[in-house]
Amino acid sequence: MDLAGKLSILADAAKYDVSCSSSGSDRASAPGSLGSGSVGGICHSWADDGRCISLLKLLLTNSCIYDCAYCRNRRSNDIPRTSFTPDEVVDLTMQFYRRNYIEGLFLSSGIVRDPDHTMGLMLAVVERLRVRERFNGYIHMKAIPGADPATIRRAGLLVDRMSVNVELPTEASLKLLAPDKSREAIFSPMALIGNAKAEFLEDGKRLRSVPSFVPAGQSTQLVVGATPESDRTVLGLASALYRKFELKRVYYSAYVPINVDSRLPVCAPPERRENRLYQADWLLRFYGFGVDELFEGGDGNLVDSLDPKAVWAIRHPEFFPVEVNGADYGVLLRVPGIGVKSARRIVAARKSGRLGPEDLSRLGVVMKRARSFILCSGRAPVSLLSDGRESRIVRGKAGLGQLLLPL
Amino acid sequence: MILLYEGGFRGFLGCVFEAFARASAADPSARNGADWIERLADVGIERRDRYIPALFAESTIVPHNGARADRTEAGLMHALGREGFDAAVKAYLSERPGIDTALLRFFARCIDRGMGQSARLEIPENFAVFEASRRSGIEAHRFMGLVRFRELEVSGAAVYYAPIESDCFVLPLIARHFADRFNDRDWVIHDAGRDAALVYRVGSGVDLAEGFSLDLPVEGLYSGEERLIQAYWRRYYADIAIDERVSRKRLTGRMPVKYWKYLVERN
Repeated sequence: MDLAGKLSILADAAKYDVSCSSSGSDRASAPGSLGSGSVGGICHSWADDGRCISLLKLLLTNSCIYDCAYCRNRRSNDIPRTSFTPDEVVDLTMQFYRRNYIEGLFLSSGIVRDPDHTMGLMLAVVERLRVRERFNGYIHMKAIPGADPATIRRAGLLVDRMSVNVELPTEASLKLLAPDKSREAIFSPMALIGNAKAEFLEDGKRLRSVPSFVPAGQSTQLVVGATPESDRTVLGLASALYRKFELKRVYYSAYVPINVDSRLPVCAPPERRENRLYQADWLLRFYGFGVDELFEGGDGNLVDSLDPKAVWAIRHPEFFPVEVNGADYGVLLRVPGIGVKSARRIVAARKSGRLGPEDLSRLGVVMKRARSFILCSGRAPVSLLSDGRESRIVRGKAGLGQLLLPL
Repeated sequence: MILLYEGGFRGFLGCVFEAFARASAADPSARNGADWIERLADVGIERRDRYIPALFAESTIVPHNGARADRTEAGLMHALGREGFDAAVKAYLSERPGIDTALLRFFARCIDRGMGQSARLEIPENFAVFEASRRSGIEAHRFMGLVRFRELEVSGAAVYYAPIESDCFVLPLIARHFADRFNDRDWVIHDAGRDAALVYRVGSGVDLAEGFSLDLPVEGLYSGEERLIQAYWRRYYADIAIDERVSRKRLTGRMPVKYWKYLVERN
């Protein structure tokens, strides 16, 4: 098979992995060698599905000894199988990077022979890129559960990010859909990576020159919609992963039915649910929310028709209205329509004068959302444009009751 | 009074100097007073080729003066601080209508009342400066991703060439990023809308060249491998999208069509 044919198959096979972030690594450029990191990450293009393309996302091979029900590459599927040689991946990465098509490489693989052998093949690609080609761009590599810890540690010194996909949130679901995998096998490389990273950070405090170990941290992916777990279970797991392994990101992937299998639902990808999970994930990481708070009084799933922050606000009328000219940063963050940036700006701007509704819009507050939940110097902001119905809602707490009705 | 300048940022700084000098001369007794906001209220600044003469408005051309531009830059750096000055430069590069005059007002306020004033976004001129600098920053960041180099062979040597067209003048803002990242080959990023280019040569670093243009179609200079690599990239681009989730709205929301012209994967 020619290289174009392989590229088609092995890009197509890699596309269900949603992680494409290239952030978190400030790998410095070096004179005479190609590449550098960008802490904030850079998107280079957007595909027809609207997803950002930052990294060249490839499988080394789509052959696999496992038979996971949801996976296109499972052993029992009758599909064309192919593999890249390490140098083919190296060349594509270098050529694409030189033209500024990509921020780096995302390398994953089906499992050939056994986990350690597979990990060794992937490591060969990364070693050639870093050592022979002196490539300084971003590399995200999958750690294969079951691979020799020594191999994983070696890889960690060369790449920017490593990830192990949890895919299914409970042991029962794994047993059902991915009989070759276990929770234990998935979590142990995560713990290994987390501990090794901590070790190197600790050494870095004492010694002058310590290599960095996965500087952009580790991430994982959870598939939603293939199994019956509630949002609460999914986010509970995510929050435990953030805490225990200090993950940088948990990605949520709306399940796309690829295989016909009696164990799997037939449905359109639950994109709305995926979106709500990301919103909730942000609330957990940047807004000081706890998992339990997001599900108070609900059925264990996020509300489909309203974002989780608005839902919390509506369930807590006693918390509002918030006085923007006095409230603490943490309190401002709870107001729908106020984000991390606008809350920071409010805190900075009110030092030099009291803020009114117009000022808030300029500071980036989405007044359409925030209006019902705030006071500016003791007064509810009433928009001149709003009709009578709306202004009845914004005046006082009785109005909040009306907002509760759709729930 | 509208002060007109020719050329880029240095010409603009010359006009800023002129504005303050004229106000001082008009009322020498107030030289040390901190009333610039009011004293400069009737002065505007505009680049000469963008100026559309208005009825009753007087205008004059301020000739280029390097020493005055230097003094102004040092003075503004002092009055605004590093961060404020960088924001002002970014706002200037946005080339939005009216931004030059808004910047003058922004400077006047910071000189009158201290650099803390730059954070007061409820003041319209400050907001205009903030918005404009944010725009430039966003577009510059976008182009760190959207630049597409073509590998050319020019008299036996490889040169990487990328044409772009942007709303803001982003070249000065992306120069450093590209010079760091692609430091081992010669390259050119050509702002085709402004006839300006970043030109990088290994060993001598990056220069901003004005009046840059190519008179022959660049395809004729493609290296032997260029077409093949482009074909690989197009194929990858097509294969990486999930068919079940295709959405034109999401695509164009995140990557507006105005940026597609020079993207290998969209042509």
